Amino acid sequence: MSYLCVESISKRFSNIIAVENVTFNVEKGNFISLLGPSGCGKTTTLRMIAGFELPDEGRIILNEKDITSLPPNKRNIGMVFQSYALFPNLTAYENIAYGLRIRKLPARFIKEKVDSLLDLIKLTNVKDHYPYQLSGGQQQRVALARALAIEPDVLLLDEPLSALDAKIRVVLREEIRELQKKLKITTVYVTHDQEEALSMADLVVVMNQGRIEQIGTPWEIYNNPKSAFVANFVGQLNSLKGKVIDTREGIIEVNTVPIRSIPSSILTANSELDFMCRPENVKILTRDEKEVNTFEGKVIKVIFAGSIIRFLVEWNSYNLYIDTFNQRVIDIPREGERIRFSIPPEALVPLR
Amino acid sequence: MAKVKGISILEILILFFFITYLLLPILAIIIFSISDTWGVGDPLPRSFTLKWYINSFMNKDLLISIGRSMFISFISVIIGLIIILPTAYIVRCNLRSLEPLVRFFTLFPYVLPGVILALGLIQIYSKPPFPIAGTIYILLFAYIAISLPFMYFVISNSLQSIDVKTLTEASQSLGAGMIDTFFRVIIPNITPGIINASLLTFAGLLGEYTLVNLLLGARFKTLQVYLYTAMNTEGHTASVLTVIYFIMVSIVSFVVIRVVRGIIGEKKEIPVLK
Amino acid sequence: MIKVISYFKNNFINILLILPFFILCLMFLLLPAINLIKGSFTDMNGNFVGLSNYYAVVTRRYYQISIINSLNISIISSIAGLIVGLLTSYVLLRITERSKNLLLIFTNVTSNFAGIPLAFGYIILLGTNGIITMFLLKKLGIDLYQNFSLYSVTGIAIAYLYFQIPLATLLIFPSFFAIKKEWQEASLSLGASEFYFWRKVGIPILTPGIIATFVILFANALGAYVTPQALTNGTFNIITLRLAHFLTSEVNPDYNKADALAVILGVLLVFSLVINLKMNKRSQLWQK
Repeated sequence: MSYLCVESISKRFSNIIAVENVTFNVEKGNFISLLGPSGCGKTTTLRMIAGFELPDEGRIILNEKDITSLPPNKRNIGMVFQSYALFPNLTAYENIAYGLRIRKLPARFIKEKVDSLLDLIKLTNVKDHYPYQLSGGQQQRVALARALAIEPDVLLLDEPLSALDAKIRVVLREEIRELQKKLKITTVYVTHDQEEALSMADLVVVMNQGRIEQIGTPWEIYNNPKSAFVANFVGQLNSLKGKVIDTREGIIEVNTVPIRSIPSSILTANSELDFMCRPENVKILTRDEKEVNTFEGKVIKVIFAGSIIRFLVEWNSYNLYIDTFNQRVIDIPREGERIRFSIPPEALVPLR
Repeated sequence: MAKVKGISILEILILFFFITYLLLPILAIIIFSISDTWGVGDPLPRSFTLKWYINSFMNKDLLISIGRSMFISFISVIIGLIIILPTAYIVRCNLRSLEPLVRFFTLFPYVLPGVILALGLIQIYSKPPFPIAGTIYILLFAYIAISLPFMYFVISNSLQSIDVKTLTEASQSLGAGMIDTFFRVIIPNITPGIINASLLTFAGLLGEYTLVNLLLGARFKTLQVYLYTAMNTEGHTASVLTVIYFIMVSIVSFVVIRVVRGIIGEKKEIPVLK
Repeated sequence: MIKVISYFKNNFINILLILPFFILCLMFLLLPAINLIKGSFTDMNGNFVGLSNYYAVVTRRYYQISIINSLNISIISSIAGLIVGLLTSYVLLRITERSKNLLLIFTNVTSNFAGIPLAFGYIILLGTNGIITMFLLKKLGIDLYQNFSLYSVTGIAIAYLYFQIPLATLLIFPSFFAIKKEWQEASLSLGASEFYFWRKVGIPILTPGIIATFVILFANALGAYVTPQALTNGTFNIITLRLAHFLTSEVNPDYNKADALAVILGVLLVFSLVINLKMNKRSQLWQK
């Protein structure tokens, strides 16, 4: 049995279904992310694990104990809130020590533990500062340390980085993940930022309107999305409408242009499907190169985004996004010019 | 603790006590104002009548005193507004550095209650160069002076809530001068605040007794002064006057609440350019 | 100096427009206050006499009693008002939005009743022939005036409570909103009981607000003039009535002694105001 089992939980508010039949399992020491747009139910799910909401149906099992109706202060969970929720009248040190003092642990032990955590988050020099004297990033780290101090069975984070600047977010993201790996603590991380989820989690649970759309590793979610929603939510994509004209060879027709893709059971004869194609999977060709599915289009726009150059290409009544790395040697096609590219068959992923 | 609909009996009792405590004196006066005969040692009157009210409407002195109160309060509010509106606007937009000084004056009412202010005013203004003590002018100026801080507070908050600096800049970038901006953009958008400040000040001055009594004594019989003397001599008239006064300020309170609810109820609208 | 001149030039009209405000405040607020302070240190002819006026005031039994009475009734009515205010605020938190609004409107409207109407109402209620007095006597056989008088400190305190309780409630109520739900949840998640939270976090956070409220109630009661005047016809010996007496009854008032007494009262009020500001700053810090 997994360390944390969430079994078919549902929650209704008045007549709004917030969470419907959500099930997932987390192994001990793993990092799982609940990803989705606002209102998809990810925060409500987290709060049910924490005990601040009671599920209408379903069970939650932690470390082989059914905690579904246990009050939050009896669950031994560590929670980091979006707004940090540091106690304003206590210093950083006292905030971190709060949970330990409640457990009436010996003073020397508390001091050791808090000092070591302060060292871990590199805030030893501000341990006597009050929250209002700390920056957003510092407050976030103190909130994290406070939750970790009690050595919880599971660490729950509710969009902890959304209130911070982009640069700090990236730094803290890595720090949190490093910390989690070091302490081997089972973690559930709620976010709407797909970059965060993909870069941090072992497993991603994509949610939409209270239901789970897909559970998988970041790689699976990104490259093999099971639905249009997941494909759209995680990363950029081109969506092509194709009609299957050859099931054995896997040939589809997009606006009467035949394209070779990978045959599979999904590609039934004459069916019309949406095919996802990631911009970075389209290969830009030189004048002489020839590959499968070679096409030519007109460059409408060139967007220089630093490490990536993105082309908007008019082709076959579609405006395709094509991404390529900024390699200084290659000649970049300019607006209005023709561009040759190839769509590898495996780049076309059928969506349901 | 027994709970009824999420609120316990104890809590209901507390609310009941609170409401009763505040209501009792008011009820007492209302009862007194419609009481006719009262047996010796009876808690409540034996019979009721409306004759005290009818008499009051024919009581010239009473009506004049109400008139005096409304007159001086009204004038004070108007003059106060004329002074405060440009001041609040200019300090907020152009002369931010003076804001602390203005805030300093806003705190004065707290350390100068009526008695102390009256004492100070009489000593200065009973001699040259401005011997206005004993005239209506000292009351007028005193009333305006004590109204300014509160009016400034309300108007300044109003201005802040409409981001007056940005609006002014937008208006100026479109070619409007300061005066145009002031009358076409700013005033229309802080109308609720202006109404609030005016009405609350008006009601407050209607209820003011300390200054008028200590500065002018019986020379300017406002509603409150009349009330005080009537209280000890013609109790019934006093109670009727109290009821009239209370109705007047209650109406003002209700209008203010309506206006405030109008502000809170509205979503953030794009301010109006008339 | 040149900076000042150019400042004036650039802002000439602006300064002109705000001048009335400052002139009025100066002439009718600041000047009286300064004059009072000056008068308290001089004699009738304007000669500086140091602290002799103050000395005369605090050593006269008469004035000592007025100061003690003022402090007494202010502290009593403030503490009582604060307690009732706390209780009422707590209950207000738990009732529906609509009821809460109605109650706030009710509180607002009845606050206009303070002053002479209040005194009058209480005389009708609890005077020697008052409605309640007679009710207790006739129907329950209790003689209220055996141990009580509306015109004693207790009676006057009851009248003071009429405006202290609503003021306390209105001031304390917002403080409760300072306690964020997330802090309570965080505390729960760390294993604490509700009680522990209130002890370690909740009440410490409310404390500045409570002190700030008490201090305002205190200043409010200290400066009250109309209610005690109307209730006791000027016979209650408190600072404000003593000062009023100067202005209305004395034939050759010794303004300097009055000024000294007024300054004493003023100092108490300034002290209250300073504490209030400090407490508010502390509360605001924690809201960040």
